[in-house]
Amino acid sequence: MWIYEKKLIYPVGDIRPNPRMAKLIAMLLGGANGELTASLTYLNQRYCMPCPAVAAVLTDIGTEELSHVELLSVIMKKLLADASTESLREAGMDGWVADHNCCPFPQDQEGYKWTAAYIGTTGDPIADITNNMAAEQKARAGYEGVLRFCDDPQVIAPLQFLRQREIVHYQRFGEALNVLNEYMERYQVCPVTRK
Amino acid sequence: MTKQVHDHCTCSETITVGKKQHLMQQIAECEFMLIDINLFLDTHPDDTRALDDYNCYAEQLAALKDLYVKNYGPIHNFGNSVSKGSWRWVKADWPWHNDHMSEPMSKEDTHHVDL
Repeated sequence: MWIYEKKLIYPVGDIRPNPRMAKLIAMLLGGANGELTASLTYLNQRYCMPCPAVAAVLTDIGTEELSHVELLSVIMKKLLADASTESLREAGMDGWVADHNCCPFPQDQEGYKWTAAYIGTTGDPIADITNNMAAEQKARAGYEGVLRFCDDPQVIAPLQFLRQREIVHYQRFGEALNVLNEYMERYQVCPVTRK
Repeated sequence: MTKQVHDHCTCSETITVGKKQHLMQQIAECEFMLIDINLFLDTHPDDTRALDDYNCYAEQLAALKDLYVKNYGPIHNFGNSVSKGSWRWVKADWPWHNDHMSEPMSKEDTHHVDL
């Protein structure tokens, strides 16, 4: 069960239209290492997670990632709304707006559509948490890559916030891996033993 | 008007009755603290100082949200915010609207409640 909150996790101010930036933000939202992939990966991993504390980490970070999807969606909308036809064409975003107007749509900066194949759920507890640590670092690198091309302070601030959250999540998943190893040792959980 | 919410823990925050945008800012800050402490507690469940902070901020968040909801309309759906007078969920602006948090609701939609 989820409850919606009519607010953003981080405030977004007045953003100037910038279709080129929207194209890069698309990667952070709907790319292979984007927020949508992260959220669904963590939430799906919960069902084979034997350790309750780590299931909590997956639930809570997976939920926070959903709020990141929303935050990036709002930034995306503001970058595309009121953009001139010319600037949209120049940025290669005319097709996007023709198809989706200024709504977000999960695809990356090259136009590759988001695919469920991005979801990194093996159902193996150790493999999954280790995957998540790498996923957080790849997402962090993605934010830094996009920030390099960003000159609007109203966009930089939320992107820096989101970059920082990747670092915190990496830290928590690292701790979760230790908690999980201890748990599996104590309760003799062997995920490969199935009858 | 300012009200001291807690005097027994590291959280020395106060609630300041201000404009809609200011109140939402306070909610966002308080809730962010709770998200971060929540994640920390997931992997450090025996940290009593973090737990105390969590409980303090949780009480503070509830008070802030209550104040906001009574003055400006619901933040949550599905029964987690009351909607006095009319169904206000459909009235208040959504986070992706340009005027989000910039204008208070019309007078008839707003009945101010003091702490």
